[in-house]
Amino acid sequence: MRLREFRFAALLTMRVPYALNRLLQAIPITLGILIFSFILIKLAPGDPITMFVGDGGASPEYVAELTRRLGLDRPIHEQLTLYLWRLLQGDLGTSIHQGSSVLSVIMARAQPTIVLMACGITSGVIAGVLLGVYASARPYSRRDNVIIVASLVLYSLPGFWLGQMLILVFSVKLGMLPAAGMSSFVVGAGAQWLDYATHLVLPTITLGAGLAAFVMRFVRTSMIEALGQDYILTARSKGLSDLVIFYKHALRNALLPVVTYVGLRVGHILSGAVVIESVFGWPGLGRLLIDSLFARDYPLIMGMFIVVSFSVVLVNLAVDILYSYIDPRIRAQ
Amino acid sequence: MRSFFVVAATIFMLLSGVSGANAQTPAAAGKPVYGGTLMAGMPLDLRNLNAAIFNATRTGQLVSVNLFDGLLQHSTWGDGKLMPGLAKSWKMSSDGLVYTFDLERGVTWHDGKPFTSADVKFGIQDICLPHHPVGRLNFSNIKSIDTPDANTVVITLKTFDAAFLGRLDPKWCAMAPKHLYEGTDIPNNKYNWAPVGTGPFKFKEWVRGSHMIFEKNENYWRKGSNGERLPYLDRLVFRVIPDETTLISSLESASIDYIPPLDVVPSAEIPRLNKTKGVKTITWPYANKDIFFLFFNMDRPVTRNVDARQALAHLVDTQDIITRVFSGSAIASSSKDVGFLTWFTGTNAPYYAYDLKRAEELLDKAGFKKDKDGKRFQLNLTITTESPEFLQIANLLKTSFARAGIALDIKVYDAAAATERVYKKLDYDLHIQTVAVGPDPYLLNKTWHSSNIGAGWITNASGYKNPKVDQMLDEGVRIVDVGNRKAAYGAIQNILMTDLPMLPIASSLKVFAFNDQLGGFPIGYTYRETLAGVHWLNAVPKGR
Repeated sequence: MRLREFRFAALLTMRVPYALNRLLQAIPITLGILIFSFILIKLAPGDPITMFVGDGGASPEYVAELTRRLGLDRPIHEQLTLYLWRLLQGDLGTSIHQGSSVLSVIMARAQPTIVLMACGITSGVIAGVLLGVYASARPYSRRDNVIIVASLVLYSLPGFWLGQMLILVFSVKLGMLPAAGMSSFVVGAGAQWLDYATHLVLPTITLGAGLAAFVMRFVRTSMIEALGQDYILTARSKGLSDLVIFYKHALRNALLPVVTYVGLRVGHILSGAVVIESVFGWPGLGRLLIDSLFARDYPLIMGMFIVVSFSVVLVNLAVDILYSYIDPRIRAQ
Repeated sequence: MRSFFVVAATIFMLLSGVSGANAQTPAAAGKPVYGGTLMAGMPLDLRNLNAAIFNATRTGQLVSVNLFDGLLQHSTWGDGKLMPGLAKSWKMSSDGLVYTFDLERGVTWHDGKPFTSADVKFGIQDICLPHHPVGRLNFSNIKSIDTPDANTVVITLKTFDAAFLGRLDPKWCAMAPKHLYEGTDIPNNKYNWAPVGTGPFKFKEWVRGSHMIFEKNENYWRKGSNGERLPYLDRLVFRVIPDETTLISSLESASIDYIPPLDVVPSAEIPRLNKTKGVKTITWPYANKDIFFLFFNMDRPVTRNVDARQALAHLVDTQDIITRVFSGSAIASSSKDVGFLTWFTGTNAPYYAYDLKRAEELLDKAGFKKDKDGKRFQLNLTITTESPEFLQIANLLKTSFARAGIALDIKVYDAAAATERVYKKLDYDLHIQTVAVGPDPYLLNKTWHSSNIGAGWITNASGYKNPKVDQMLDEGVRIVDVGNRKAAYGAIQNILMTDLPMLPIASSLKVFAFNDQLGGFPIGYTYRETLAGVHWLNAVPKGR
């Protein structure tokens, strides 16, 4: 264990310059995304003032004053320059609709999304790996075929539909699990964490299902390929048990593409979370993004773009580092 | 249908001896009990909770009214009457310029400080007037506000305004405390997000995008219609559930107890929900007369022609729309018996029954004859994503218009984009939108007065310019005599239905869906009824 920790520390030391380099590369990419998004949002029809004043309208004086207060009366290049200048000072601005700093609004909503994504990815990967290994043990058998067809169906199901079906069965018909939200607010609901956990079950399944299906197919194919390799034959000839061959030799190799895949899919999973958060009333970043877009809350939309794009870059970086930890060949380079 | 609801509601009100703001649905089988929690589900979160400074969207109104009171309040039944609020009575001088309000005694803010006339003066003058989006439109006509004692407020106007009292409804000026707002940056005052009001419930918690929790105000000043203490409930929880299907499923699985009438329960779902164990629905007409209108852009080659507009009106089968889109839960807004302002004027107006033959005659007369393929022209119909009914109506119109050789291209935008395209640039041919023409008909100015062309969300998008109507609308709010005012708006209704910049179609009924162990919901609806009278029946269920 100590040796492993030492290796990991050594690896980190080796990868730090690489990570810093990648982070520095991320800055111009994020800046490019920012400028492009800023212009795109301004070009989109509609404005935050209309959405701010609501369906009852507003007096011309009120609109003029609000426009001035929000700086929307300035030319677009001035608005952009001012925004970037403030950003350099770490100020993401103030949400027009919520009246709080963009960073605090995003941070408050990040936790539910991180929890949901972590649970969805973890459960999706675990289920996918287990089913993939299980199916690959007897390729083209009945159980393999059943798992393949099931994964195909699961992968094809739209998240919003699957979510609704799960709600219909487990909440409405069976009354086993809550339909929406993060808490039941019921008097005497018992432990808060348990209440939270029960609310997490259905969104996690919905988010993880598609991932599990894809990972399963990935692992199955990789495992079948790995099990046909010479080093597996060598391992068998050494008299190693099936368990060791399966999990230590074959699976480790089969997992490499899974790690890459999951890393690349984080952006997609986040966009899936947008839909799933709406279906389950999960108050995370996905729902915040939709609300901010409908409200044309420019500072919040921009803040979301920055946080999301930077998060994806960070996750990809983490995957790179993890990849080299898992694969000794890359570590050696 | 409409008369049925009017009669039914009148009977309810007479039998229960109540009316207006305090009115409640007749007691269901069971005895009201105090205590418990009500969990309401909402499709949207709010911007802030201070109704004095935001032009509350529908969601905002129905939430914040539980925390705040207005000086007065419109009746829930849409008869245009005003009910007492924090002002228990009021007098108007003979010239209609001076209003004297006598305030309720013993009212306290949620922090225990007394509510006085100084709060009213500060509230109108320093909060609502400068900081409410329509504050300047509503209150610039005030010459002075005097407070001769702690319980009396005297407001003097510069000119007579028939709609003035209605502007004191909490939608336009909820009362917020002077002692917490004076000398502060009012739009950014922290109490906008954690309010202190005089309403039946006190603010406890708000987790953005998730929920709000309010607790019972033990010192609430208002009593129920039978003199009982209000509110009944100990706790209100508003949960944000954006997906409408999930919202309904949450009610069916008893995760929530109440879905307010926010147009999230489709009319077609009512029969099924009424058969669902533990769920009940009631429907009421919206007191503020929210009507589905078909807008005609009067700056387009086809729709600038009045014959063409009238022809298109004859192609709108209102009864078919009511049956197929609203499953019967709507009231026609233009027919032989009823015009869209009949509720105020008592008079009818020209109407356009579905008549394909007449429509074709008018189109031919206007010079839009069919070509050899039986086609006349194509129009775009712009709608928003705000209500699923818009698309359903649009699809029915597409079929109906096609019979007369008119092709419809349906374009769907979100509210922000539609505001830009339809209401500011007038870049459309036809448009469907709900427009509230009540509780006072002065609201007609917004969508029919030429000064409001291109003025933003739900304004005069037809580009309608009729100097005579402009003048009549300007004068409409200055007429002191009620009878004369009704006659004036009757004349306006006639002109508008002849010129036809917009065709009124129907007004949908508002659906309350709730746990059948609840009672005490109000009769009628304005979005501004508190949940003070709502209670559990016989016993508070487990977990509530």
